[in-house]
Amino acid sequence: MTPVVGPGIGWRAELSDLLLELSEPGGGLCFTEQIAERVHHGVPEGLRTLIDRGVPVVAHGVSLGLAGADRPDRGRLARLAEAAVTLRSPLVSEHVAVVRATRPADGPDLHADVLEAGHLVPGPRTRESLAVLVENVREAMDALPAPLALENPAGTLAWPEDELDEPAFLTELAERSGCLLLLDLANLYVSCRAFGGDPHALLERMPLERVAYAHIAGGAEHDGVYLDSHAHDIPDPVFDLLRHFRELTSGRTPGVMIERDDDIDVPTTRREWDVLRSILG
Amino acid sequence: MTGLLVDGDVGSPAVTSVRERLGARHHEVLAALLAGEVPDGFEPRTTRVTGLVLRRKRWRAARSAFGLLGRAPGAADSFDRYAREHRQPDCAHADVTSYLAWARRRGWPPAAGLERCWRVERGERRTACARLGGRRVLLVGLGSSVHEFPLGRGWSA
Repeated sequence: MTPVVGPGIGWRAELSDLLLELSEPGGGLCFTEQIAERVHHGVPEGLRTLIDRGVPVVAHGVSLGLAGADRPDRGRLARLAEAAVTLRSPLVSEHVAVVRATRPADGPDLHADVLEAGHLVPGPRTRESLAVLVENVREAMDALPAPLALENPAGTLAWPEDELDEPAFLTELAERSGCLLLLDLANLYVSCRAFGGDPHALLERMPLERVAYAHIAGGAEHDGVYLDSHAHDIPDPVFDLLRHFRELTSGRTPGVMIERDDDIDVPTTRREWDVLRSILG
Repeated sequence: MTGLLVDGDVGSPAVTSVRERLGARHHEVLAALLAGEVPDGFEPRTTRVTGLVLRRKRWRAARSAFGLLGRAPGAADSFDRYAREHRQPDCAHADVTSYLAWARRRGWPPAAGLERCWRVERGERRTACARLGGRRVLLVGLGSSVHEFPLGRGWSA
């Protein structure tokens, strides 16, 4: 049983009134998600009202960098756990991504060189990086007060040393660590647009029984590369993937959430919400 | 990178050794991406765009820290050139300070005015003017808040 089911929309200040409306009886909002790193600035009034109304809120972390080579930072883990408690989250999510890299010090008196990416970067899908990731994820799970779901990143970067494709990598990650997955259907579409491949075929090979919820989002082309901008409308191929996901998970449909970060337009989000609800039924 | 690790290896010296190798590899590739370069063996088009996405994310954080910056024509491209040459400091505020000093040294016209306005935002100065495209603005710091006023032709930045 997944901790979140049905349709949801990620919480953003610009969408607060819409989410409050949809959380009224008959509105259909089944859950939302808040960026965990923002919670230490406080919980906005609209989000607090949703929590008080019993709407599940997933604490969504963006800075742990579990696919990095370092062990998870204890302070960041503690803050993620605090955010989950504050939001009364039934589920915590993070990313299979590198966000910083440490190069060991060149000498005994020097500090290691830590380079911040500032964003989520897919790491190499090798057996060795998987072993490190499994260890990091287990450590994170032990420190969190709710189950952990990990998100597939947007794959516009393919490492030459890759040994596994994404479904094989995520399947083994879930089996060995015991984590759940947050399947970003838009990111799956991005990866296939960048490097070819059929996103529907990849979707069928994903460990769907481990998926706690899914993301859908919009994107745009830049220099011929389709990017998950989270600032544009959700394209039809992503909704087609969602229909396929719905068929493949019938009987236990996990939650599905609209994610929009920039250029937020309430009428557009409302239209996309209507499509999402019609697909989930 | 080769070598097969299984669950029994978790926490072992073998994994520690892998972490060091993996960290060095991540560092090498991230440094190239952030500098706008394509590491050996990577597909050029998608890799360049990935690097651009990282720098754009950094630009959004800087713009969010200092709203006037986002309204200066050409600032996004100027910031991208800066970001290729300079690593990200520990916070967006430090990034804005470092960027504006770099842009002023490079002779980017709006930089000096923006730098003065940034000092108002940070509470280090009471007033400052800046020219943003065809408009001039006056920033006034009052207590913990900053107020912006459009300026007429009689003022100069």
